[in-house]
Amino acid sequence: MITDSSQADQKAQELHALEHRRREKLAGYVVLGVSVAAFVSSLLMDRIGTGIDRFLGAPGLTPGFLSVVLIALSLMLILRNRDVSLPALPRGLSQAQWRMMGVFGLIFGYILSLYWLPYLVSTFLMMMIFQFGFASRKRSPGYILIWCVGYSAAISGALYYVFGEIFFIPLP
Amino acid sequence: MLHEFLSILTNPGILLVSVIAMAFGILMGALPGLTAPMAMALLLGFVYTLPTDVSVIAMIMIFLGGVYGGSMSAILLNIPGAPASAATALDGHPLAQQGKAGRAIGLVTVSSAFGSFMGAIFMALLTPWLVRFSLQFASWELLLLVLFGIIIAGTLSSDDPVKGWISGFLGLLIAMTGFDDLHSVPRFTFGSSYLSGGVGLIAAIVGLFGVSQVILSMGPVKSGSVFVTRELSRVMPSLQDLRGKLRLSLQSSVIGTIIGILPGIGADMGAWASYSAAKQTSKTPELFGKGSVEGVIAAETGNNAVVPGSIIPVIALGLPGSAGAAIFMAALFLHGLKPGPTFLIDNLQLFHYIVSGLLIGSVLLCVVGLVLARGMINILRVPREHIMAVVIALAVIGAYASKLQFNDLWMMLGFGLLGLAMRALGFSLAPLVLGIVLGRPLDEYLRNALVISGGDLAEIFQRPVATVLLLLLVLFIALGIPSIRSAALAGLQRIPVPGQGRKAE
Repeated sequence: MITDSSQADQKAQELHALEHRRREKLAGYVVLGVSVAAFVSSLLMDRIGTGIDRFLGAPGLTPGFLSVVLIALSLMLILRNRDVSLPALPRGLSQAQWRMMGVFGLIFGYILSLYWLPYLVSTFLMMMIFQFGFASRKRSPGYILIWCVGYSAAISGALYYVFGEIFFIPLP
Repeated sequence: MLHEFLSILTNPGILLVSVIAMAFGILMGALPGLTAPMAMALLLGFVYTLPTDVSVIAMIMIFLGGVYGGSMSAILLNIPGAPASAATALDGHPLAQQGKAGRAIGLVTVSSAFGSFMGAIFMALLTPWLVRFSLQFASWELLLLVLFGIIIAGTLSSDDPVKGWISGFLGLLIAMTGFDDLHSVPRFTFGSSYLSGGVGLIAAIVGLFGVSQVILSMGPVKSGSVFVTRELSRVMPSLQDLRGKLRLSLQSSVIGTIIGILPGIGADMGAWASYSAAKQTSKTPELFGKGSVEGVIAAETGNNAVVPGSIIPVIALGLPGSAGAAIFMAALFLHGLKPGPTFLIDNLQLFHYIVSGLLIGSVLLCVVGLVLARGMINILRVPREHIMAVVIALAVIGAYASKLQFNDLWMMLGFGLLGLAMRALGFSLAPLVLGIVLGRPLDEYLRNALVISGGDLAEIFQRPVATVLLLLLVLFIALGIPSIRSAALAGLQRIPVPGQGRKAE
């Protein structure tokens, strides 16, 4: 029994390590792509000056140098994981990933809303949706909604007053 | 320095800002997942609008409070509020399980204050000495110093040096965006006038630390917080607990300060190194991990001594010692100050202000920490969705306030995604921030050095400091590559130890 569970643990660890290496390889390719693009851009950057200064003081010199270092490092990542394949596309998202997508979407929507709505209103809405959508306390929806409305109104009002009215910080 | 010290103490406005900033730092540090650099990043946009001296003091208070605050949740929940408090949880939480949570928090508070205080003293003593040394530095030395900082930060802040270096160099490359300082040629701007001004430092830092952390924290359905106690009894530490611990506290302060000076390592390493040293020198090492008072004192003194320690290289060399120090350096940049060898000459009064702020901050940490300790148990019970919603609102204010541009908010979100991806792929964020902060100076030093020397790289070897830095750089890079490191270790093991051979014979 103990042997079975330890074998299962070992297998899980091996799978985890393999997945880790696959992601590392993917990261290597992403960094390589970005660095090659940055290197080409560096070569194409304008050069000002004459003689040796045209090369040594070139605006693309430092980005070019940094891109070369990054290309070398990303190749190291790729080569040390050359025996593993790239990670497969996920078939679906886990609950945690959906929640994270939700948070990202909410922040995205909040920033977008600031173009049209006053700060106070958009902040109130963002806070209310955030707390209602991710409520962790096991209470009735009505209770949670009332609590969220009250809390969001109080906090967004306090932020507006403290930053905007007391410290005169320009709010979006 | 007495003048600056008294001017802080006698100015009710600065004192009020200090107390608020300290309380904010403690609160942010205490909440699991929120760290001192994140607290600093969130308020960077706000603090930037204050006068330089007040701004610097506020950043110091948030830094000190944030590093200390993590110990609260480490003790009460066994969840370190910040990585720096992981070592504290080892002995602090068992103490709480034994019904001594108040005692543990009291010890942690006094130890943190002591560590910060001693770190500030070391800072006052070491910085002028380091500046005198660094004044001899020219472009080559400064260039190699920046590269050395990125390499050492990448090596030590990440499990995998290659990933740490990628993080650091990616930061340097990101910092190249915008008009170059020498010829005003646009780089990586893609025709955007917004990007011509470069990457918004505040937006990038807030995105990396704030947005990515909010998204990550809200992933799991349950936060998994289980309190060991419902209320705290006495939080003032007893004299008996502190008696005979001066040597240990001093030892941990020295270790924390030294770790702080090393670029990019941060308070967590300071805590672990102090904890490990305390265990080795303790008369009761068997108690470590089971509620040892010495363990708690060492970890907390060590991690808070890192705060002043990490500011030392910012001022003397223009090289931050940790992610928090990088944000502190960014705050100095935003006020038009240039940290580095000449900082002390041009801004001696501000340096005195920083040291005074750290000394006063140590005392405030003790007072505010002990006052907040009882209330913290209730704050830690607040569901994370309430906290994270406020963090998002603060992040938006912080990112927007510095340049009043909506594009900064998108930049913040973009960096939030980058931070999330990097965390998911096991890349450390500290070298990335270091790179973003140091990118522009690196560009200046590299091109100046090459133009002045006419492209003659051999000039490095005519300069002793540059040669030493280059050798160290090569050594660190070599040791970071696993095959070379294992070959070196194998070589060391083959060296015959005097005495061993004879014994075998």
